[in-house]
Amino acid sequence: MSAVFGMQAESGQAPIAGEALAVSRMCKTYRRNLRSFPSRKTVTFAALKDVSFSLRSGRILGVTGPSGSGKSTLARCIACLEPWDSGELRVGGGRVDMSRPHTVRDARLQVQLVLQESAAALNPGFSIVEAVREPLDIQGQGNKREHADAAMTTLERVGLSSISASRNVKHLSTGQRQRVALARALTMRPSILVLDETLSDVDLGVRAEMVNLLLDIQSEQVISYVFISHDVRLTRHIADEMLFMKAGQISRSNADEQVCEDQSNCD
Amino acid sequence: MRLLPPGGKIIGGRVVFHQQELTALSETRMQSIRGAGIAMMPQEQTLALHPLIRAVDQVAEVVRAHCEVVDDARSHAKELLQQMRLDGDGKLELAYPHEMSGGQRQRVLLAMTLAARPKLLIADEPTSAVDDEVRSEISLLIQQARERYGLSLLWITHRPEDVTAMADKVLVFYAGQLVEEAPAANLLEQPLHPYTRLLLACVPAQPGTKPTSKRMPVFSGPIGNVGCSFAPRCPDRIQLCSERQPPLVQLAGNRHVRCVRYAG
Repeated sequence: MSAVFGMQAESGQAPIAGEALAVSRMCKTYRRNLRSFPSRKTVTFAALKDVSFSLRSGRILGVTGPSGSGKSTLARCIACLEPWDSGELRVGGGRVDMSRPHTVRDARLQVQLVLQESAAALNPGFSIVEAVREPLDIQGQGNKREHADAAMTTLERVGLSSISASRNVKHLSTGQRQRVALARALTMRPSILVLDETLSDVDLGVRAEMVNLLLDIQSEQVISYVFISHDVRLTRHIADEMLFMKAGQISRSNADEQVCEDQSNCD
Repeated sequence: MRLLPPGGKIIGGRVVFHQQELTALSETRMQSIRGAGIAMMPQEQTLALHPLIRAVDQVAEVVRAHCEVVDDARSHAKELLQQMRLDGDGKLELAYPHEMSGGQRQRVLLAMTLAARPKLLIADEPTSAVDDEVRSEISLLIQQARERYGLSLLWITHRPEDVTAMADKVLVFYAGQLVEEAPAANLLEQPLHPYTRLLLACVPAQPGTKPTSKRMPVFSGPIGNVGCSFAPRCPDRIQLCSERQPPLVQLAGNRHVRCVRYAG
């Protein structure tokens, strides 16, 4: 019954044509209980304050700002890994409600998150192909053979066909692990890829290859990127639209932009 | 610093630091040079700090290990932390590493490396993991320490834009070999080695200028065994490259480059 209500609620929304992602008035507060005796108070920290933006499909949104500005919280909320307090998230035109599991499941199929620490994100006991096919196995559609084939195709797409797919992920270089993490996300054929500091830890050569790879993938399939990085210059280079975050808020004013630029010039 | 992991060994060459040959020193003598002579700021700040010792005590430990006056090691450590502008009303001095932000931990590490007044500071990717704001602050602190203590600095990074702002002289390494050496300003304006040129081309354009294409130049291919190690990836490769190892050639303007195109 609830599913039927959910559908009705969704059909009530008028999705904007070509909109991949929309966030409106999103707020998120972290609460922490201080256990130290005698104070047993709760400390709250507002990570996102009234954040609104939208992203059309096939575009790249760059999100940048200093550490602690809420970039990663935003990423986790978009990927539906973290409940938000108030506000609305629409993925592919459908409204996501954390209290309605089916909307969350649909959104998680469409949004994939790739993290900075690819080493930590991959199970060190897995081979390359196991790491990439695991999401498909968990999802449970199709048989194992199809999953393995899909994984191999994705691995070829990210340029890992030359190394044996049975190799263990812990024996790979950072650049190769990044590619495996990317393949793992792409194997679900998402419409939105959230890249949270994905390219912050790799050297310039690997970074350039990954940037080109992301652009190639985008030229072949309709996919939007949310590219999150503290590197203003790189973000500006890759993004179609920019979002500057500061203390949980979006600051799009020219002054803030100038400050960010000045800081990158100081390097 | 003779801190190679097990299996790594110096098999030849010399390391001379203030007229001392380091490869021949005993472990005890070497220990007195580490920290007091050459200090190193490691890349992974979370691993470099002891998780169960307060910030000020970690700095004091270095002071006790290397300085003669050890009575007021703790107050000396406090002073150092203040110099590194670790603010927070004195509360942060008593904080544990997990209670601090990346930038604050970086300041504690810097205080630790400077505690024994080293003559040479080796900073291994000190600003790679922090945001732009913290990066410029840390760079500034290191710059100030250099002026105050007359410190020499060896800055290791994969960000060319960092190096050219901080350094007098830049060495470019590829596959374990020195491929180019140049005064910092010259390197940016006129990179000679094909690898350096590609590396600099991978740095996104200055703010304000719009790049013509989002694609970046890449260099793929294996590392060469015979001849120049960059040859299989080099866009300007000629026949000679894969035949013999190019020598390091000295050019005008105090520049050195390891490429056959510049060899006589």
